[in-house]
Amino acid sequence: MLARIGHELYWLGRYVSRAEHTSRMLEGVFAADLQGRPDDPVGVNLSWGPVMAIMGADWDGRRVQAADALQRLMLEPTTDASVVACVRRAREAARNLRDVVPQDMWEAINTLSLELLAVSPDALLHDPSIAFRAVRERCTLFWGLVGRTMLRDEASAFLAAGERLEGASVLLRMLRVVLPAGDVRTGDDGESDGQAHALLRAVGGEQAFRRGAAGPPDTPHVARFLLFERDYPNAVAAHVSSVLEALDQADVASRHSPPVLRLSRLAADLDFHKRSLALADRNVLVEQSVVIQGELDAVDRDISERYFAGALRPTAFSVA
Amino acid sequence: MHFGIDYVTEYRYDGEVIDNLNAIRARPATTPTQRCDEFHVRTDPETRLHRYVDYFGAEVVEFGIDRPHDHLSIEVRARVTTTDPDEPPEAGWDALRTTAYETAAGEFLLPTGQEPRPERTTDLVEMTRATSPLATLRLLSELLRDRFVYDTETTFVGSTIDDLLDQGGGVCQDFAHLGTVLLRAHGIAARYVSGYLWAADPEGGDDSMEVATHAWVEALLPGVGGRDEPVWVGADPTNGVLAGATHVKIGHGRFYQDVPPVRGVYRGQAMAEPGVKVTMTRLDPAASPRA
Amino acid sequence: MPKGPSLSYKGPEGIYDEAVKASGAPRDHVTQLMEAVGALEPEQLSALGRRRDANFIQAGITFDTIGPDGQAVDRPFPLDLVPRVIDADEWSTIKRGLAQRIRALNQFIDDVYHGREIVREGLIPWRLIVSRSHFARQVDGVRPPGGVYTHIAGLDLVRDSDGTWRVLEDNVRTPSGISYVLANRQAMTRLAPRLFSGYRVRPVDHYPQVLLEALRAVAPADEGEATVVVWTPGPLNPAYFEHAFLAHQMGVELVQASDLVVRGDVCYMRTTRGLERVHAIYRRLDDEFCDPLDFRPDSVIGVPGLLRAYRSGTVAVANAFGTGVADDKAIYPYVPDMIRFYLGEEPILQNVPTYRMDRPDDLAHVMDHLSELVVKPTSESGGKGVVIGPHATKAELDQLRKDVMVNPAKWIGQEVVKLSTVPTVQEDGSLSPRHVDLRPFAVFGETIRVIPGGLTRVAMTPGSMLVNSSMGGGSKDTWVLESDSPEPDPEAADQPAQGERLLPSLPEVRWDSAWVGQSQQQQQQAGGPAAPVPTRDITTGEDA
Repeated sequence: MLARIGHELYWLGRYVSRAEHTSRMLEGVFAADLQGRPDDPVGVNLSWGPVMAIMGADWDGRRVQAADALQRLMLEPTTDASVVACVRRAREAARNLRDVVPQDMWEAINTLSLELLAVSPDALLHDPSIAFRAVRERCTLFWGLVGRTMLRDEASAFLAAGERLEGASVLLRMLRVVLPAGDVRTGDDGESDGQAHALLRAVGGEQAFRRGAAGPPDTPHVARFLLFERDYPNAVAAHVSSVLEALDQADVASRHSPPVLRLSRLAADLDFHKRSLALADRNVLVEQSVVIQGELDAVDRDISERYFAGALRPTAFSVA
Repeated sequence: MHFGIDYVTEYRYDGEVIDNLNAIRARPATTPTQRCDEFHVRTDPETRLHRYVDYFGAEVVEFGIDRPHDHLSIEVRARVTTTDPDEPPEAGWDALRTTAYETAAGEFLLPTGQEPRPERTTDLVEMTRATSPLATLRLLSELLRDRFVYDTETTFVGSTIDDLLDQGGGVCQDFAHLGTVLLRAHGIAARYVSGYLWAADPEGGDDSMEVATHAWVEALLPGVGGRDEPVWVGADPTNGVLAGATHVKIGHGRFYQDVPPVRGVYRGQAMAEPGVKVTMTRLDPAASPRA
Repeated sequence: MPKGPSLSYKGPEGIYDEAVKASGAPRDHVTQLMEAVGALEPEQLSALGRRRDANFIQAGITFDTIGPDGQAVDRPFPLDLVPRVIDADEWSTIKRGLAQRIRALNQFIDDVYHGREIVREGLIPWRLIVSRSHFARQVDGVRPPGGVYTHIAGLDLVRDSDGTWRVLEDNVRTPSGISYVLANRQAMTRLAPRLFSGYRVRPVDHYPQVLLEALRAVAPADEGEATVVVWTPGPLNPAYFEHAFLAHQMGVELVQASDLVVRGDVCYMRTTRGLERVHAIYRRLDDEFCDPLDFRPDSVIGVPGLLRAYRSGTVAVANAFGTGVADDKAIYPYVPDMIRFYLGEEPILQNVPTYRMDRPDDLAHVMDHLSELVVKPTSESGGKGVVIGPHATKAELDQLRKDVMVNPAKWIGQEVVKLSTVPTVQEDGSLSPRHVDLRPFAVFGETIRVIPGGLTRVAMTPGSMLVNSSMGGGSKDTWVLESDSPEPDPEAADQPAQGERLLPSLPEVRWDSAWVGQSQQQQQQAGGPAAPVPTRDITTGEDA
């Protein structure tokens, strides 16, 4: 497969996944916001300002109005992190890939793009659930089509690698922002923290957490669950395993592949930490998130180097 | 005359670049009045060199550096022996209209598509009309030298003849381009020549000096009496003289783009800062030019 | 009794109509088709047209055109629903004529960049050749793998008022349109299968396979199968659909400049598994953009070093660099001489009478008869800059006269050809004659193979002879009929029926006791003869 095509697929996966996770996070925060105490300093600090920070949008630390944040992160085309911008870039990638991905997948993204363009700021504020649902449904359709219609080859592998790497990335960014590295004395261990629910809801993991019986829904438990629980598909550990699996399948010489080797080590580490950090507090978990994020950034560079070497380099000709 | 030529081109990039491909036309040509005794090209980073002879007969050295690098130097060393050409033939204007002349002239009589609008050069053409093609060639070289200022600041590698006419100044490349256009307007076949010029005063005693690559023209002058073959005669409109043993020719073409000394392409966003240095050394300061 | 549109159809006066004779009676090989079309009500035809447009838009078979408000509009590719029919004998002449002409052009290109014998013989002035804008000094003396330059040719043919086929243009750079030939055929078989009844139309859908074989045949691969790619300038190119279509149909990569890289003197493509050597490139961009080192230095859609690889003979490029010299309207008048000179044969297909403006007599004649002639710039394509004397205003002719006199050698004059007409569906569903030309496609690998038919372009306004799609032209599915001479193979005719008989019945869900029955049936099947798989040898056929 051409490096350029692999690169496009990988980023198509990342953008669709980013749009999906961002939207779900906003949905969770919106729900939490309605129930008050959104920026409780001792609990999970998941409110509009931090959400802006998570997505790399400007946030100066001041309180952010829901309307403003929603508008900017859902619909503002000039904010790179906005759902609309992600969908637009996914659409561009999908358009370049029209000969590679099935027509239905292109249509799913194209339709979502049109649906989002049709949402007015007023309508969004009045009832954001319509936009949230559009993103959720179209993205689910998109991934469903990947599973049902695409050949299990390099193409679907790079798409999956992008999707899952992005999933882990967004989750880690969330954890780093919402777990304020602070005073252990706030004594949250064992505390039944309502805001932990918000976090779970923001990643759509409430039910899984309950059924997984990972412990009381307090912050450290939820964080550990989201970091290390490989059986929960939207946990960092699960994402990492999936990226590993996808690359292992795409790479003919995976035993000599830097990203595959790095991912194997990371997956083993995560398994180990699941036990070793069973009692860790939030400070340790924040540190872990930083370390894991660093590793994933390295994986991303390794992937570009190994598979998309030419395509990723900025190309400019100069003639003397 | 014997010359040693050391032609160094250095690029420093402000970041890493890859796939740096270059084509160099720097080897002194072999002509009736010139012989290339030695020629070497060395690059840093080192790489494999490929050679071929292009359509106009110039030797081209090509190479590529794939791996990331932030500098490139190309060093060309040559030794060359030149002699003054014979006295050019002076035939009349009507000798231009023979089949032999037209055949020898080939494409060098044709417009290249880079001419300015004819009315822009009408004056210059009229002023350079002389008693014979040879006289026109001499007159034209002197006129361009006198009418236009040699100025390295006004034009750049992609400048057109219009730029020279507009600004009244330029470099040898511009002088040569205008020269070929005027000669063709007279019906004289003309071509652009790239080379090196030994610019020191021949009696001066300097035996090594920094010069630059140079450009001049060659005009096809008809043989005398309609029997002799037409001859390509070099003329240097930057300096207002006919080319002699101090002119070391690399090659010729219709215009600059046919014989650029160095042409290169690389990938990367880094910008390049080129430095070019041509050093010519007189190897036989005492010998007579015809030795 | 046929009713509907075909009854009232008549060809225009003084023009060769391909469907009806001057008497108004249909020509023999078109009779059945006209009857079948006649059986359709105008409303049915209109409905078919709407379905066709919807299908084309959905499949992305569109092209950009400039709407009345100056904005680019994406229109479905215009396909007329009445096919054009060419009978077997006629086609065999065309086919031989094309192959002959392409062979001569190929030899001419080789000669231009090597011995220049045709110049030394005094048949074509060297100065005319060297002054062509597509004459490529960069490849002087370079002989491509297999000695083939014009791998893909799309010559434009027209029919004179007496029905004679003539060559109007030689397109041997990057002729486009083949994807429409295939798309049109596919659309017609789906939309109007009934029109095909009673005809045996020669297939066209093997083109991608023929092309791939030709590219593999000229690819300098040492061992194993050659890697072939299609090189597109990018998705913004108007013919991108065709590039993607051909790559897809051939099962090869569709690359852009950034995907290719030259290392040493070998061309590679960047894949997710590292560099992979490329042996043959079907490129869909002009020479001057292909390599910034050797051609236009400002081309950012080129592959630096590609010419070096090409010179070293490590990669085949189709069409070869420098073929444009044979694709020039100023060279066109000399093609019949080329055929005689290189092949020692008389041309099978004639030129349109043409005036060479570098000759004073011709120039004077053209200047005196501007209003009766067609004048064309020599190095343009796609109808750009063409002035049709009889249709031009006085002001246009005056301007033309000025333009030509600046550099007469850049123009040619031609007699007006009264293009033939074919019945074409109008908006109201009735039939009306429209002028057409034909661009057949030929592929030159080990041999020259001509795809039956080609792209028929239709001038959509009555009386107009401008057929270019950029000028609002349409197209037709073009049928070449199978020759009647070899008796149809009776066994072949039976085959589908036999196949059907031997196919096992579809499995159904069975319950309880039915399990036994099924296993017995399977045993029977295993003992019976294997069902023959109907195959068609797509490689046979068009060898010239």
